[in-house]
Amino acid sequence: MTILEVDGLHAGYGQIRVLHGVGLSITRGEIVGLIGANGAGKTTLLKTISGLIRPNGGRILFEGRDIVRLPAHRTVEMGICQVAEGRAILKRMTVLENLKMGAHTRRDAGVDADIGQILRKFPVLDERQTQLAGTLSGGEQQMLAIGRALMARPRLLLLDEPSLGLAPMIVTQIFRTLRGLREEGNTIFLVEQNARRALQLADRGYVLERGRIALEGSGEDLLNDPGVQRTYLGKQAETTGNRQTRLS
Amino acid sequence: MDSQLLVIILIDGLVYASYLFMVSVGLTVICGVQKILNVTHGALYAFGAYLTATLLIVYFEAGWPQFGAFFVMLVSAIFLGIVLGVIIERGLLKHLYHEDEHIVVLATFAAFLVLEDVLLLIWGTDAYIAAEPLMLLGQTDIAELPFDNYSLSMVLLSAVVCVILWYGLRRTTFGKMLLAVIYDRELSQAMGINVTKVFLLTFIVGSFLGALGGAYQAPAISVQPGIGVEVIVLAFAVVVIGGMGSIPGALIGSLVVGIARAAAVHMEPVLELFVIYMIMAFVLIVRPQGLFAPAKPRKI
Repeated sequence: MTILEVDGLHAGYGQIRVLHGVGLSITRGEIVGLIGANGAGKTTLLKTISGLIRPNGGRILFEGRDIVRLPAHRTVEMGICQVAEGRAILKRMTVLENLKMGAHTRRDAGVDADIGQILRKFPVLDERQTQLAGTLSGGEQQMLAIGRALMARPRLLLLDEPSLGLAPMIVTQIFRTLRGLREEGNTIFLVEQNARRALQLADRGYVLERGRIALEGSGEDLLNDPGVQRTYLGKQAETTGNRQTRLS
Repeated sequence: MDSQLLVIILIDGLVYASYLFMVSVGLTVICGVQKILNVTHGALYAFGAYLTATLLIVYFEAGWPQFGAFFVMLVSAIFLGIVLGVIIERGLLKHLYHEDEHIVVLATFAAFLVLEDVLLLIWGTDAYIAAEPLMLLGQTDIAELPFDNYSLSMVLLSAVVCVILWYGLRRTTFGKMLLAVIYDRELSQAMGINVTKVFLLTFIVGSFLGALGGAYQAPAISVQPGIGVEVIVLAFAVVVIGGMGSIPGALIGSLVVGIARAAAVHMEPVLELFVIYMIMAFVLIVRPQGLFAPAKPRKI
């Protein structure tokens, strides 16, 4: 069942157009990856979906409802939750406060139970409950950002470059977490520069080039696509080593 | 320096610091959340003083229970905070959030001038004196010197305001949302905080605090044209010293300025105003972002 459908989306900043008619769809329970070079419009697309940028044209249907005119706080209420690029946390609040802030739209009694669940999912956060979020390591901050977003009980989770600037081991950990989230039934739209990891994890993927969807397919198909390999996976004609010479 | 002088300086300084805190805390809250320098704050103070003085005169002529006067002050401040706060934020500031900060200062300055004239239209150039609450509380001797209990009660009021603000910010959901907006506006938006609503409510609270400063000060002064300008200049000095947008900054800034001024008044009266701006200049030289605000890279 389709949860998000984007159709002919045009958006940008003031006079600068970034997206030129983007279309894509996401089905409940899958991880969809979006890869593309710097400046292709990946972050703009996420911000437009979550309502931080008002598009110049096109449709965004979330569970059948047009959300194109809704501001960000309304889309969050509807169940779209974004983890922005970088460390999307409140650095001067504690870990626990960040998690509580994530649930600020909720009125139900399950918040405390959910906090417990998140802390079990991320044991490093459990040990640092009362620590200021800004004092956590990069990987811990990213986990907190994801945990915070989960506190809103999102129906669709938008992740912007969760692996950015993290050590390879931590990246592995983050991606393992994302896989676990899918198993629990979460729907994730994952924007990544780390194309290989993203496509290995994703059920389906899109390639964004200069504001347009250039390619789409299953994660595996895209991984095997010669064009994608050349541009985003840095593979030469012979694919032997794992050395990446990424273009960006 | 004998101990009596020291006591006088400390108490006078504390009283003056309370007054400064009352008028600067609203300014700094608005500055922190909305990132604007709100010159209309001075007008809110003046409106608070005028409205309260007028109402108190009527109130005491009617011979109602005397302690109800304090209720009158609170009600006028709430009334002004909501009415003027909503008019200024929805009517003017809302359209300026995307503009350069210099334009916003100029716009609030223009609005301040307009409001000053509105004051003159309503109340004219006469001075209003409503000192009954001041008489009501009597005096206390400290170190063989009489102090107005009303002035001393200002210290209590600021302490109460300070505690309520601290509690409101740290312990309530709205306060945490407000802090989130102060720390990171875009992230707060992405987290689903309705920033438009937070801005409006913050401005109402800030305006209320400005009006409350005027309302509570009204019985202690002669309410006349020009009090708004005086206050906005002092409040800016305090906020600059403490760090724009920082509540602890406003507290410490008020104490530093208040006690320094009291010391000047009692030891070298000609330096009364000089001392305030000297501290401000000194802070601007050694720590331009103010004592409590974290250093931030300047946006170009």
